[in-house]
Amino acid sequence: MTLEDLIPDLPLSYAQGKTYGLVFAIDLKMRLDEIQQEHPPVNYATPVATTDGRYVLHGDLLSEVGPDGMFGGTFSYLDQSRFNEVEVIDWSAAQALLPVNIPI
Amino acid sequence: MFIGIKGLGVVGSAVGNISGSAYDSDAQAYIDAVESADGQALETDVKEAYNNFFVGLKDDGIFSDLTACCIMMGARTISGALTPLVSSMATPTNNNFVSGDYSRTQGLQGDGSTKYLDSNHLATADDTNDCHLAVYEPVLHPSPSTPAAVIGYQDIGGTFNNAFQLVYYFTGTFIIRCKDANTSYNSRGGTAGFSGLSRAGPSTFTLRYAGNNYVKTATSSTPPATSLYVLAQNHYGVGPQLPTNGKMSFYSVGASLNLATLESRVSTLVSEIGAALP
Repeated sequence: MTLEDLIPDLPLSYAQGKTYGLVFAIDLKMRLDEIQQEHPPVNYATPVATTDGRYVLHGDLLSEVGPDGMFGGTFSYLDQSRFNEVEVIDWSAAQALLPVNIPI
Repeated sequence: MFIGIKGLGVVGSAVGNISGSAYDSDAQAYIDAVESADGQALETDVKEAYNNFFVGLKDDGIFSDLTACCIMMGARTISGALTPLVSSMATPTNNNFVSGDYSRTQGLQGDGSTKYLDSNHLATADDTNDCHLAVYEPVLHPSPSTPAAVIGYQDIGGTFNNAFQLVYYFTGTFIIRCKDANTSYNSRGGTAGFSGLSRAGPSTFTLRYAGNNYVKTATSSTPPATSLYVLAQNHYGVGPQLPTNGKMSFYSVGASLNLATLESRVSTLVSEIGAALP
């Protein structure tokens, strides 16, 4: 499933969003960074690097992408034609992609 | 009769004004800022809890020792919860928290993976040998299978080779550093609530946890000019690290202080917010 498939259901409920991880390549991450530099938000969507060179966001952000949502502004600037490049996977699977930080 | 009713009305209005302005001026400014961020008014009992906290800190002589602080409870929204205690303090930046992560009585909950606050408060903002950090966790942090940072930064092995941090390190233990490179461990009891570090000199610092003080020997060194992260830690020059899935309803950073005194005020605030929002 991709983010494109979820468009009709947005914004998701918090409970549903928490079950998803959003995984995407570095070029989309860089585009997100650009958007947030051009339109500085109050709340930042900050992707985390995975061990396979991609990036992940928690799907619960999709509960805040409506016009009044905390991430609604940033979301409005995203190019929906590229939503099919955002893979939607189970949150547990997304967590498994994250590095285990050892240095303390 | 008409004059009398009108007069009573004036008296009532005046009493209302007196009641409103009776709050400590800093508390009133904070309440105004929270309500503005929330977009709606707070309940009277929440405002009174806030006011009691401000007045208490001032009575104890530690109000000015807090140079970064957020009461992450009582406010109606995350924006309100991230309002700094005083307008001159840095406002933290939210990274990935959503409304569902926030409880008015228990604060923010991390996801152990992506969510953290950047306090925007530099480790150099307070003197190396006159500093504290403190947090309040409303529920016992789940025993992590991997280390989880509650607050701080670390540059262990780096140019500055020190850290200011509170990190849960596997079951039953946490690691604390207070602008030093020593690895000080302390056992974790089964107690939620207040934890804090305070350093008033170069050789030792005090950890307060579960209502007890523990003096740790660890020589301080100058920290990097980097921000402390909350519900994670800032790995200097790298970024957020060890995000936690715990909950937090208060944090403060600043000058050294009596941690037991701060704990008492924070605990009272927690109780009063809880009573105000059953």
